[in-house]
Amino acid sequence: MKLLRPRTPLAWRNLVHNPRRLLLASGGIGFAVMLIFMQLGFEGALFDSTVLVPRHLNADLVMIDRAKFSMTVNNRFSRRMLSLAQSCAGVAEAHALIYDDRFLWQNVTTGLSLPIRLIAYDPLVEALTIPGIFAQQSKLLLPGTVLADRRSKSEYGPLTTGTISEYANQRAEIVGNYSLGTDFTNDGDLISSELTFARFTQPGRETQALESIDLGLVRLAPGYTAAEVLDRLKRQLPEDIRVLTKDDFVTLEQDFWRHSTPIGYIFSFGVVLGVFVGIIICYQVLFADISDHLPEFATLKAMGYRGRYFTFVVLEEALWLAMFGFLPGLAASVLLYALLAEITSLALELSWERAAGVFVLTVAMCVVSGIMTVRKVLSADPAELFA
Amino acid sequence: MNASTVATQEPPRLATQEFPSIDGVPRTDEIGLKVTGLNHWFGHGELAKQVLFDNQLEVTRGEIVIMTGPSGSGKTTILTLLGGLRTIQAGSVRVMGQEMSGLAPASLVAMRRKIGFIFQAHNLFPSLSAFQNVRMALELEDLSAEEMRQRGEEMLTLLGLGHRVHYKPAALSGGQRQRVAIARALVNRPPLVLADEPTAALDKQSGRDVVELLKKLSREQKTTILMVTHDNRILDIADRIVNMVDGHIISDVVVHSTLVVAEFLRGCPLFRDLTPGTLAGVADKVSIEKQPAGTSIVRQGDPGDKFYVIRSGTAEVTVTDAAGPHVVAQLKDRDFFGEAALLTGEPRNATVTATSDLQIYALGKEDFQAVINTSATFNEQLRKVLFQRQ
Repeated sequence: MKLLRPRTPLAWRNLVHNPRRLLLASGGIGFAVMLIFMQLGFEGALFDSTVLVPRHLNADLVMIDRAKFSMTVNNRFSRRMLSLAQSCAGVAEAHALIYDDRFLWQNVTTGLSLPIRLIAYDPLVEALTIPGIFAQQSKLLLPGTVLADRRSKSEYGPLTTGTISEYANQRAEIVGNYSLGTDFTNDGDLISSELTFARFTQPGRETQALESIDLGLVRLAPGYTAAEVLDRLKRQLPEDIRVLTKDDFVTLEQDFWRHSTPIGYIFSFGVVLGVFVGIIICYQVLFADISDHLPEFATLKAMGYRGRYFTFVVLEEALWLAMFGFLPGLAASVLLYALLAEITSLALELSWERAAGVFVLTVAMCVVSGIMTVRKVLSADPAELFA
Repeated sequence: MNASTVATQEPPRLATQEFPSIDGVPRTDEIGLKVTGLNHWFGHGELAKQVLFDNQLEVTRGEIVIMTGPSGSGKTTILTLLGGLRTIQAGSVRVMGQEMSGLAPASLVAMRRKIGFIFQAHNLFPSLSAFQNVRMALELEDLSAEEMRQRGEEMLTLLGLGHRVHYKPAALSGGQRQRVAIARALVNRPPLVLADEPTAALDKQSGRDVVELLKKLSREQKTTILMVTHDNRILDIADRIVNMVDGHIISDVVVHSTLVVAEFLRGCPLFRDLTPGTLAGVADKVSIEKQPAGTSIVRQGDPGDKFYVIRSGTAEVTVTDAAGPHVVAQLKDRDFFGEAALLTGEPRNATVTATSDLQIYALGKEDFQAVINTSATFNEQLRKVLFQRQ
C-alpha cells in the first residue's frame, strides 16, 4: 500500500462517528490540559514573584556576600566594597541596596502589627525600575517617610499616600505608592531612604546600620562588556564577595526556590498528575473505541492489513484526541488565567512557550495512551471471527 | 441446477489454457483448494487436544462447497487454517497451488489478500459508508481513487446496492449490510472465498438472495467458495457437501450433476488423466440414457453417432462375421464403447446389447471430437485402446 494513495480516514471517521464520546473525550483531556496549565501557571507566577525585586534591579552586575544564596538570607557585606568596585575600570556607578523584613507595620484600621519588608537605597539613584517610582523618590529625603506597594496584602490596612502609622514602633508616613507585588515570604513592602532605614532598624546606631549592605548594584560604563568587568571585579574584590550578572542573580534566586524548597516539586507533581489524568482519559476513550470495533479490526486483519496499519490508525486517533483536548483546554485556561490573575494579584501569564510546551505534553500523553492501546488492537484475532 | 443450465450460462469451453499456470504444473490450475493430511491440535504439551484428524479435501476451481456438521466438529478450525488465520501444524493446504503450510507471517498476510472472508456478522465499520467499507478492501490493492470508486460502485451495484452506495450501515437493512460485507469480500475478485454462516443473521428471503448472489459471482468469476452453514434452505446451491464429525470429514458428496458425472468419469481408467477442466467439459455435454435389459444400444453396420460410458449395469459385445454372431466381450460399469466408429469414421463394428437394466452416459459425435481435439492424452489413450481391441 503506497502512502501517497488516497486512504479512507478511518481514525477520523471512527472518532467523529460517536459525537457524545468525542465530547466527553475532549472534555476529559481538556480538563487534564487545563490542570497542567494551571499548575504551570501557578508555578510560574510564584517563581516569578520570588524574583520581583531582582528583576527590577537597575543594574548590570550585582554584588552579594558569598554566603548569600538567596534574597531571603540575611548575609551582608561591607559598604566599602562599593568604593573598591567603583575604582574598577568599566564601572560607571555602584550603589547600595538594603532591606529588612523583620520589623512590623501597624495596620491603622485594626491596630494589629505585621512584619513587612523595608527596602532602602539612595533616593537620588534610580535603583529599581518600577514604573513611576523614581519621580516620587525625592519625597523620601524627609526622614520617616516611605513609599508603599499598593499590591501589598490587605492585612496591612490602607497604604495610601498620607497614611501615618508605625513601622518598628516609630512614626512612619506614606508619601507615595508604587506597584510591585508579593511573594512567598513577603506579604508587602515599603521603600525608604537609607537614613530612614537606619533610623527605623537601629535607632541611635545609624552609622553602624549603614556600614553593611545587602546588594551592590553596578552599572557599566559605556563601551565595556559585562563579562570583562565581571572578570575585573572578581580579581579586584575580596573572595567573600560574589559578583553576578543581573540575569545570573535572577536565576540564582529562582533556582533556590525551585530546587531548595519543596515548592518546585509540588508543582511538578501537579503537572505529572495532570499528565497522568490525561493519559488515563485518553486511554479510556481509545480503548473503548477500539474495543467497540474489535471485530471490524479483526476483519481488516483477515483481509490482509498488517499490524503497522493498526498502529497508525490508533496513533492517528490519539493525535486527533490531543487536538480535540488541547484546544478547549487552552481556551478554558486563558479564561481562568485572566480570572485568577484578577483575584490573586499573581502574575499569571500564558506565554506562547508555555502553550507550545503543554501542547507537546498533550501529544506525548495521547501517544503514550495510543501505544498502550495498540496492544489491544493487535490482539484482535481474526480466527475468532469464525464463531 | 443441471448440466444443461450450466452450459447455457457458461458457453462450452474445455480450454485448460485459459488459466495461466502458477507453478508450471498446469493441472493444479484447476484445483482451487487441496487439503492433505490436515491435523490440528489446540493447547500445548500434555493438554494438547486434537481437533482435526488427517483430513483430505480437494475442491475444483469454481466449486461451491458447503461444510456441515455439529458444532465443535472442526469446521471453523478448517476454515481458519484455509484462510491463513491460524498456523498449520501438520499437513498441507494448497490454495490456488500455493502451499500455505510453513509460510512466513508476512507471506501469510499477503496470501490472505487473495481470500475473501465473509463472517456471520457483517463486521462493517459503522462510521464508514457502504462504499468506504468496500474501499477498505480496495485500498489493499494498488489502485487509483477513480479505479477504486469504479470497482467499488460496480460491485455494490452488482449486489443490488447501487442506490445505497453512500449509506452508512445503520441506514441499511440486515440483508443489505451482509451484502455490503460480501461486496467487500469479493471486490478484489479473490479466487477463494471462505464464508461462515453468511445467512445466519438474515431472514429467509435475504438469505436466499445473498447465496444466489454468491453463486452467480462464483460462476462468473470462477471463484471457489467454501461455506460453513447450518442453514438447510441454502444447501441446494452447493456443488459438494462435506460433512464433518469430531474432526473428521466423514462424507464428501458431490451433489451437482455435472460434478457427479465428472467424479464418475474420473473413476474410469480412460478419463483418469484428464484435467478437471476437461472432465467438467465432458460431464457438461453427456446425456444419461436408460436402457432395459435386452436392448441393443449400437448395431453392427450402423453409422457411429455417439460414444458411451456405462454408469451401471452390464452389456455384451457381439460381432457378426462369416461364422455368425459371437460374443467377444462383456462390459460392466465404468467401461466404455462406441469409440471405434467415431475415431475411424467407419460403421459400427459390433453390436452392444444390455444384459441387465443399463444406465449409460452418451456423448455426441461432435462433442466427442471436441474433447479429442482438446486433449492429446485422451486421444492417445483412446487410440491405444482401439488398437488393442482390434
